[in-house]
Amino acid sequence: MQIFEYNGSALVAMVGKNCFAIASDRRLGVQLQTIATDFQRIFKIHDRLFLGLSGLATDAQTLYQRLVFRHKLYQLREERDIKPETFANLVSALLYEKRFGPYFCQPVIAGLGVEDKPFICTMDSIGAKELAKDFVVAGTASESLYGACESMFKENMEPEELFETVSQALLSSVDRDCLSGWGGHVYVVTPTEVKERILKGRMD
Amino acid sequence: MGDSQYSFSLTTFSPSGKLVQIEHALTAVGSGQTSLGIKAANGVVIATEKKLPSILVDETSVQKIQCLTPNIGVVYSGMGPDFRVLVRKSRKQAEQYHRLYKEPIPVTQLVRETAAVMQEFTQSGGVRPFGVSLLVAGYDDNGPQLYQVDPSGSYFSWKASAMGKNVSNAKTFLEKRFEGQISGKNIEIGIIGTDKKFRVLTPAEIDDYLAEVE
Repeated sequence: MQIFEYNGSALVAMVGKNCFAIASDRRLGVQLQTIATDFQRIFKIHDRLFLGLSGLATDAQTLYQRLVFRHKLYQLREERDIKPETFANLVSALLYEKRFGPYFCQPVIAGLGVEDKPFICTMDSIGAKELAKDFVVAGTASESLYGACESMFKENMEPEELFETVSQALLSSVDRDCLSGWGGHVYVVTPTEVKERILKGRMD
Repeated sequence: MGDSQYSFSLTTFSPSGKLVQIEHALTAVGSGQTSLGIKAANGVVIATEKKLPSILVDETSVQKIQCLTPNIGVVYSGMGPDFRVLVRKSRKQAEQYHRLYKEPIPVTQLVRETAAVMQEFTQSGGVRPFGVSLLVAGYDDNGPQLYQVDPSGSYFSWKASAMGKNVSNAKTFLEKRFEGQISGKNIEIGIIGTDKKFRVLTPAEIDDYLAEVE
């Protein structure tokens, strides 16, 4: 039994023109049995910063709670929201603290930084950061996601086209993975608004 | 402090509600060498008197103005050794922040943490308050900032401030008492501008400025 494949997950984040999209599947399983079809994997840290957590669901939930705790204290002390790059460093440091007993999660961080520049990154379960200019993927469907994103991605997509691209990439990839699927959850974030949409794909 | 004989705090309230040890610490500061700071629209300047006990002392070995981070500097009035301890602790705190966030620490955060350390030493067993007041000058995303931190741990943001001897007459004191005697060798000046890099002026540069003033 592989610990990273116990619950099943699919996460993808993509950069567009002054915007970004972050999307996940909705299945929560216990190995091959599906338990829930509305599981939340993407969390809002603040209006311009989103965190997706793939891997073991219990670790994803605990890690999310710990990070929200840290961010709330940061907001109180510094009287401002945390920048995405700074947040990524914080997550990386927190994960490495548990180097020899890690959280079995792979985070995907997406946010709008200074001057509304989109920022995305992912890291492994012990905090090795991977920055990208185009897209990042995580989860049991990651190999399919890499292929789908690589072929469908274009630079400087507007929010609507970005939404279509991310949705198609996600749905086609989870169809090739038995542990993730049951629809999709997509957030498209621009400097002015956050659009949250639910996708209906192959419900299996 | 583990020893049970010193498990009580040496800083205790007097019946009138004062912490006498802190008052004495402020007296120690008030009898220290003058230092002052001025915040301008685009930078901060801090300076201190560098009066050495004897002309035989190698003045290049004495550094009263120190860097805490590349964009934050500090000067003090009071006990030099206490200052060195605080500088060491503050530098470590700034680095820990950077280790966690890979961002330079904002001036307010560093001042807050340094002040917290100073406050700890007024409420712990077996220790005494620090005998220094600090003037912290920095430039971060919120612009130029100047903070004074007292032995009690309270901190204030200033547009201009002075500490040490002759606090109230500090500016007049410098103009009248030291006229013709200020040189690059007996004052130190630290400066930070829009480049966000704190640096101490060399004696030669100070002499150049003094020549311009005259």
